Amino acid sequence: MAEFGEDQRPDQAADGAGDDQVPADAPFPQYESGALLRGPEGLTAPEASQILGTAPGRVVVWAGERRSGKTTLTVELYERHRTGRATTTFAGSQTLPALEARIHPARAASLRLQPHSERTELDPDGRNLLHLAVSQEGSRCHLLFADVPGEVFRQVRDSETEPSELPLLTRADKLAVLVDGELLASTDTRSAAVSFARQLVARLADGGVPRRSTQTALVLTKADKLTAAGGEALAYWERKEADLHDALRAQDPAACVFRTAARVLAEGADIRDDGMETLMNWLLDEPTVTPDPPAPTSSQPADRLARLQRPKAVT
Amino acid sequence: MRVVMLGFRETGKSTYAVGLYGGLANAGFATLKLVGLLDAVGFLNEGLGRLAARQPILRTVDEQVEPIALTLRTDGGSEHELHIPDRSGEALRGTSYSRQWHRGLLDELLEARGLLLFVHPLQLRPGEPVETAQKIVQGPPPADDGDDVPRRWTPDLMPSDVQMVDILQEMVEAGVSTPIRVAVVVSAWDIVDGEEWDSPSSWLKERVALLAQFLEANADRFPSAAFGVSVQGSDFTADDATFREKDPWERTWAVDAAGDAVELAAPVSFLLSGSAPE
Repeated sequence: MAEFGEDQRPDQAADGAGDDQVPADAPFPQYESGALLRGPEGLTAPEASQILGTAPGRVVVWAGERRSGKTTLTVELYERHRTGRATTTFAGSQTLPALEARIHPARAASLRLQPHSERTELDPDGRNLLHLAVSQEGSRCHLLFADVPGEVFRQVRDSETEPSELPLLTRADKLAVLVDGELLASTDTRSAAVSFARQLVARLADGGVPRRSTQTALVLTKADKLTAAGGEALAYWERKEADLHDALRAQDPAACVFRTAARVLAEGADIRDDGMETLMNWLLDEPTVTPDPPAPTSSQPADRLARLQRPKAVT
Repeated sequence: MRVVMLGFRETGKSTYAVGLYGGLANAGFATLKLVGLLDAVGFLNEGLGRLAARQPILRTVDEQVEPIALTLRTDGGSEHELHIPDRSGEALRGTSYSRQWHRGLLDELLEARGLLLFVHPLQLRPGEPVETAQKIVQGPPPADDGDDVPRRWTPDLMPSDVQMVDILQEMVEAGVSTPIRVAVVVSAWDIVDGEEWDSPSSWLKERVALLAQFLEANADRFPSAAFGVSVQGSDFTADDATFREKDPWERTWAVDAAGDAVELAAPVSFLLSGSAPE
């Protein structure tokens, strides 16, 4: 018999969230200490700069249309540390509640029937960076993921927004153009998916993105959905993937290609390697810049510009 | 040395405190001796009485927190004052949920030089993926439920390992100085399946993965050691005369991270070993 403080053993639901929830109106007078803990928000650019000034880091931008899997990639790279699938060691996160809030719809505690990632909204306070610190072979790296809605990239594609107006794009250490495997699996939607990616790459190039210091990649998401669609769909993607890869390499000769299945759901999919470890290794690969200088600690308005500091020099 | 017992409710903090005191008061430990009392221990002796009668320890309510203050001598001869405010898990739970520090808990942590961090195998919120629930439901896979999230996210829904990492990180942000030693105590170790997990270390790496990794990666700020403890010693319902005939402090047992036998006081000894004598 377990050691309990009460006579009755409490029920334990499969997700552990049964009777333990605090009522929404629970009074908390003794918590008015004035010392707050973080909420489910991201980091601002100055906050991220503080982190980058202390240890090696990467600013990561997933560029893709809505529902292409941007948030899913970020949260699954985090969640893998909890489920034993990561080869890196979790070293911390200054946006832990934010990561948790975003992975929640993929957990049983959400009471959903299928895993899901909610639509990203642009934070009005510029808190659009998610942080994940990982350790590998004793070395720590801070990953700062841009948490930007697909609508922003739609605007770039349609020339409604210039890439130069998005500081995260010009500051990115790693820039990945995403293509949704679920859209590629259907002849009704695949050409639009490919066209989005091609036009996005072109608009970014017109706007001087990627910079010389940015490493780029073409990432297929939901590869399980594409695989399940069969040989013709795969053959179509292989042709288009080569074209898009060439387009990226025109800007970055070292541009890579990845196929990922962050959540393997499709029936009939034979996914032995979900590609996430390879993707993480690419994220951790050394960029071609020196670490950011420490962010200034003064409260002058110029220091609060919503722009990540540029590194001192490009090596 | 001020030590804070940290853990969500019903994770075995009060039970461990009673078991520890029972061993100290009855000269049951080779590595740690009780030299003197700095505060009343009536509630600990009440707990010992309940253990002797094979009854569970009553849960600590926040308003009834009674501190433990003892003077201890290690087997190396050094003396330490040990102060443990046996804080109920409610303060920690409320802090995590409201995203505001419980005033008393934060004050204790700011003065703490060591943490006893409790986890209980039956109180873990594992944070299982949706697919786990799917496997339980028989029949064809359910249709997509669109964008609906029937239960919205709140901080108390974070899995147990995440909540513990969250609190450790927030402690540092709130000004708790590091390094601070952490003894991770897995309560009720007797109920853990010994065939599946042969040591607290392997159990933590699998069941409380994020905490285990965080402590490993941040060993400079949180030097830590893991222990599995059993204060009851066994199932209270077991009809074992030999077991019943033992004094409650003789029933207790503990293992270190590798699963090797140690004294119940070992987690405290670990914390004291990094502290200067007082």
